[in-house]
Amino acid sequence: MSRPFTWALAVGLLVALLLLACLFSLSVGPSGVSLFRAARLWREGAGGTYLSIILDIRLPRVLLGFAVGGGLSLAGVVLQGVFRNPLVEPYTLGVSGGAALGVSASSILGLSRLSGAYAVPLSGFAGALCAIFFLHALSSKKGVLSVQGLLLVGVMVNFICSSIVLLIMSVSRLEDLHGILFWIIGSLGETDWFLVKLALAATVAGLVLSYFFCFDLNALSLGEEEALHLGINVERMKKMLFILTSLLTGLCVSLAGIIGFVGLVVPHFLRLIVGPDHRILLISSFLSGAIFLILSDMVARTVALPIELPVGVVTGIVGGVLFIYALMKKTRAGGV
Amino acid sequence: MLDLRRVSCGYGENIVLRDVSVSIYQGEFVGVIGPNGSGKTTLMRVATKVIRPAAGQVLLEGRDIGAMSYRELATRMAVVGPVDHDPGMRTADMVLLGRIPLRERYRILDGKTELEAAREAMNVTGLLHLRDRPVSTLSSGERQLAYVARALAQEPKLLFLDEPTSHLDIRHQVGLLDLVTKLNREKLLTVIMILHDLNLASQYCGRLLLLDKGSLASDGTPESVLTQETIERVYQTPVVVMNAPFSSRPFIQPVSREGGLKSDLY
Repeated sequence: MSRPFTWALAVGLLVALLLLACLFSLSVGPSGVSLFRAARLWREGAGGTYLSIILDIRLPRVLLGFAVGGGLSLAGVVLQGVFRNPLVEPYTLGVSGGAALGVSASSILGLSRLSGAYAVPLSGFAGALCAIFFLHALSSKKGVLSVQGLLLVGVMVNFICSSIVLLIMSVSRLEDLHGILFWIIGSLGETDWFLVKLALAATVAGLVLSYFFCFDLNALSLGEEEALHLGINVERMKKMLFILTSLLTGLCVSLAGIIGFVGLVVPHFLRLIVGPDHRILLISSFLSGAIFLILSDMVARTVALPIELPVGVVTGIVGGVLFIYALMKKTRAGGV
Repeated sequence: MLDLRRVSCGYGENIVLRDVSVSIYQGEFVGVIGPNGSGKTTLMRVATKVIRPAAGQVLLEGRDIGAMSYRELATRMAVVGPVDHDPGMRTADMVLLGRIPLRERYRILDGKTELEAAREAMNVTGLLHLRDRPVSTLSSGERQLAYVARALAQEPKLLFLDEPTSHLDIRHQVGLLDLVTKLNREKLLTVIMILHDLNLASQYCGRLLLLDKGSLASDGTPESVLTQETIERVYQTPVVVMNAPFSSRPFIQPVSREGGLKSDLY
């Protein structure tokens, strides 16, 4: 089998799975309305309520899950390529924490009243960008930080950011609290159609943009000096990709809060399945991340009925366990 | 082809190379030798724009490499560095990475040109039968050849090699250096190679650059550079220089202070 053929097969399979996950997720919810029943009633000319449950409540969730899952997973795979470290992702590096800090700071300062709907994603982007360039400065000052060193700094960045968020919470008015709490746990409850559409457009654009760097990321897997010898302007490429991943993370965090480990779990398994070539890894990570988050959200919505869990709880438990497993395996192999 | 004009460079405060001027001409096979820490690798890094010279200029075909893009450089020169990093991919894919500077970026899939160039590079290096094996499962000799194949896929005019023979047995050492010699003769590939083994350098290189504490101590044919007096001064080790059989190039035998002399036995 030739490689383009295998790649096309993998992408086709993932798209099919994604559609299935979407349909399945649209059909499950606390109200017990299934897709088939809603469709049948709609054909009979009734069931407007059912339809609106599906189109206005579940569809935005699924679309947001697609955008956020894909975006975070893409950010994860890109960061792993840039740092040449399979355990980094927006959450473990503290980029998500930075974004959450940016969002909560701007909501307290009332920036959203100044610049409208874009304020939240933009402040998330600014926070993510600060966190990532701080990490970059640390890792390039002392040469290359070791895998654990980088992760440790990332965890600390996350910790500092969430402490500042807590500080902001403790001095803020009670009515702002719920909104901030939501960013810390992570949920796909955003129902503003404009923001959902913005997330969809931006993450798909991010996927397209990331393909301008797929060869650079492949070359970088040999090491930074080797990549230079293959004609890659490594410093410039890293800066561009940091901006891209900050945009993706900032947007995802500002809409859905901190959803951890999506960018770690998904690329980790895809590397095993499709191999290390970023030409296939980028798109398949995006699609699988979307599938993973849509399904996680479905689990979160239904596992503890009638309570809806935030999706970050599910990804946090699944992803955290897998993270420890991957770290142990990597340490045992002596690769750290 | 490559000119270093009064180049000084180093890392931060620490100046490694001092005022080095040297011109390499097309088709030459140049060996760079010198004790540890004499600046051999730094010389290679400044000539390939990994680090910038603190003073002086590096010219490639008459143009300052500081003004050339990395991509432009990569279509003219290729580097085989230390092989210590497992890229986690198949041999054929690793060799294909050498096509990155030459390919059109918007074409995501490998075209015929790419696949044929990689195939040719693996054919020349005798790796075609290993193309589907992961690089991590190759022996050190095969892995070194795979890196050479990747460099050849770049279709360079100038090839740098940093101690390509250091972890290889004599069969693979000779195999690799014979291959490079053949490319040098048949394709007029200019070769600049860092070597630790003075006898291999003497055997294969047409010209040797001897570095000592960041300066060029000697530059010329193996016969003129590898003299007992020069080697003993630069390496601070007593040696005997003889003529090698067949090639009659200089052959260097370090003299042990702790035995190994036949007279001790009597």
